Amino acid sequence: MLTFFKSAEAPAPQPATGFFTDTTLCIGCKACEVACKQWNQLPADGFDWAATSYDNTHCLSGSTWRHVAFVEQMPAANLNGGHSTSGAGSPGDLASNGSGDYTAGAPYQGVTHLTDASASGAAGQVARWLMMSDVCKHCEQAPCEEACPTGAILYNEFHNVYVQQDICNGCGYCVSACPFGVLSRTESDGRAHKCTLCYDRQRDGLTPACAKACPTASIQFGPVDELRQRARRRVGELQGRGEQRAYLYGDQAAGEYSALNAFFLLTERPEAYNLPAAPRRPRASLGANYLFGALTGLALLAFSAWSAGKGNSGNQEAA
Amino acid sequence: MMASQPAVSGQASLGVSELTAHPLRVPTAAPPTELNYYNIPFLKHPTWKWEIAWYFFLEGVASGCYLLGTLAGRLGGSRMRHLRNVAHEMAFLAFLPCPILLIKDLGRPERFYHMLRVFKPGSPMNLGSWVLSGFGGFAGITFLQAAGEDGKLGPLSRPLSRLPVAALELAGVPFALGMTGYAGALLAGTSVPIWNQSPWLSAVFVSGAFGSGASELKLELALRNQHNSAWSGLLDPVERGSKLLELLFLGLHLKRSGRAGRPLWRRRRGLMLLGALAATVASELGPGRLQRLLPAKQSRQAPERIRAGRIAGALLALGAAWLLRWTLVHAGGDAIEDIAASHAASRPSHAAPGWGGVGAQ
Ligand code: SF4
Ligand code: SF4
Repeated sequence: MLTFFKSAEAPAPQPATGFFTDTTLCIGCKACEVACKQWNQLPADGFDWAATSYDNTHCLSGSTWRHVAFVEQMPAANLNGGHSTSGAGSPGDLASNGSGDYTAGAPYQGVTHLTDASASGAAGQVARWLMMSDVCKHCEQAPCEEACPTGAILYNEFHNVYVQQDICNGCGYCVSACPFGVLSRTESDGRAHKCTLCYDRQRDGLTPACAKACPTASIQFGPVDELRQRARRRVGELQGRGEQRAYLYGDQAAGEYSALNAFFLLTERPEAYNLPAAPRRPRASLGANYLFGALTGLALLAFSAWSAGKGNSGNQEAA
Repeated sequence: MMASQPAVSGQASLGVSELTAHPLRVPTAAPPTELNYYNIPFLKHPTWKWEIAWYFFLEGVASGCYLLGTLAGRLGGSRMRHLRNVAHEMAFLAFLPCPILLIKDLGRPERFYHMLRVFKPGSPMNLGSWVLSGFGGFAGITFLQAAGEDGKLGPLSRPLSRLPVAALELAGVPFALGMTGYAGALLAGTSVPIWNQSPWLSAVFVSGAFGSGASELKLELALRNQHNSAWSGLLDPVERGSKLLELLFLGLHLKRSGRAGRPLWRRRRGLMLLGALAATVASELGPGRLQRLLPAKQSRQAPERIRAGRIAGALLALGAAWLLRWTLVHAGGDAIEDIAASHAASRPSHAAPGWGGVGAQ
């Protein structure tokens, strides 16, 4: 049986690759979504717009491997309990930036010009559009890979998390394991799908379709080490220009959760982009569950054994 | 420029070099606002449905019966021999639908055997597949011998009753123990907030399995109209103790889960949990009181009515176990739809500081 399943010689490991998605550069054009769907032959999602935004794909799924989120922070929305900008607004910054020393080459600053503080009605609040092209995070220690019972999910030679479609039997465990809700099991073929980081293109030395198509270099592809350095430089650059909110999501391990090989530069709390602030590593609670389960089992086994034996000795006395 | 930043004051003092040196910034207090993205859950709906709820129930019955049967056979002497045989019969019968349910649940059922193409004990589902397969083998062979000894297998009974299963029966014990507990670990090893927040879920399933096994045996014996004080001396305390432990661990699980566990006790699911609790309490009323609650039939003789009370008690206990598993499995979907609870499950903590960034301060 083992030889029947024996795989071919594993390819030689390459430097780990990943994505650095800089949301301050995203213009929401969805070129990445379309390029991804086209290259990977994924079906369209229809035109079910999320509220008044341009988001028709809503989330990542088995048929959407790049998803452009349209976070719209309007001061008015603050009043009716929508997306709040409190805790994130630094209007003084933006106002001074808007009139200040920005070069035309920084697309993010264009957004801040749309509404200025005085026109917004709510003093100190400005409208923000935070576009973000989301993707599988290709976790360095991926819960989906750890969960997969068939070994369908593995790390390929680029240390990308890859689902082998000829192995997956659609058990759905990875769907529940991923803390970012990336994978889903598609109805049409009963298997789990997600971003392959364009494994096929990488093997031929090509850039993944989304990064290739992105017109603003919001999606950058390359060796992860290099991307991380570049990203940290970029955060420093933005901070230096007064965008104090810029930070990296997933560039390094955080407690029990590993670093993400596809990580992000964000300017708002993770929840606004539908990301968990601090994902739990599903495996973290496993050990304790096994331990307490085993202890309970042994205790009940001992109690049952005692009850069974007691009945026996009682009978013998009676007999 | 820095002066006008009330909301991010915690960050304002950090210069560029400090920020690049410490790109990981841990929020110090709970975030002030509830951010969310168009009320779209950020987790995916678990794929598990009724098949898995029934599977969790049946595998508990099967493994519980197997363990009690083995102990009764080993330690209970001759008066327990019959109980041991009935237990092994029930264990295998309860096991039989399990693989079918699990295979039906797959997106690609014809690839079920891929579960065993690797040995990957770090994956609770892979480990469970091996444990289930092993258990099936041991439960099957012990069943043949026990049912043969019980005279249930027609002309084959006699030869089968002579099968040398003593060692095999014992070898199945670790597998049966694994069966009682891995379901909880399976749920805990996910990102679903109501399942992954506590160390107690496996213990809930372990104690539930012992209880279900005992209840199932009481039901079967009552249906066969067989009663023996030695059997009750084993089954009654085990059933009661296990149910107490199960409720205790469930309480600990809910407590530990905090806000993230909310979908488990709210609305419909809360009613279901209450139902399971009520059924558990009712099953403990005892056959005497239970039979009085049943619709009275003039013709019934006293022993017959006590038997009806016993059946009712066992059914209530089994019903409670089933309802609890049904609720635990189905609340997974409610949990991911409760976005605030999902975020509560991934709040930055010491163990998981996350990548909160500036906005989180
Ligand atoms: S983001 Fe989810 S699907 Fe992607 S590697 Fe991590 S756990 Fe797997
Ligand atoms: S659905 Fe497929 S890829 Fe996901 S855990 Fe199951 S076998 Fe692995």
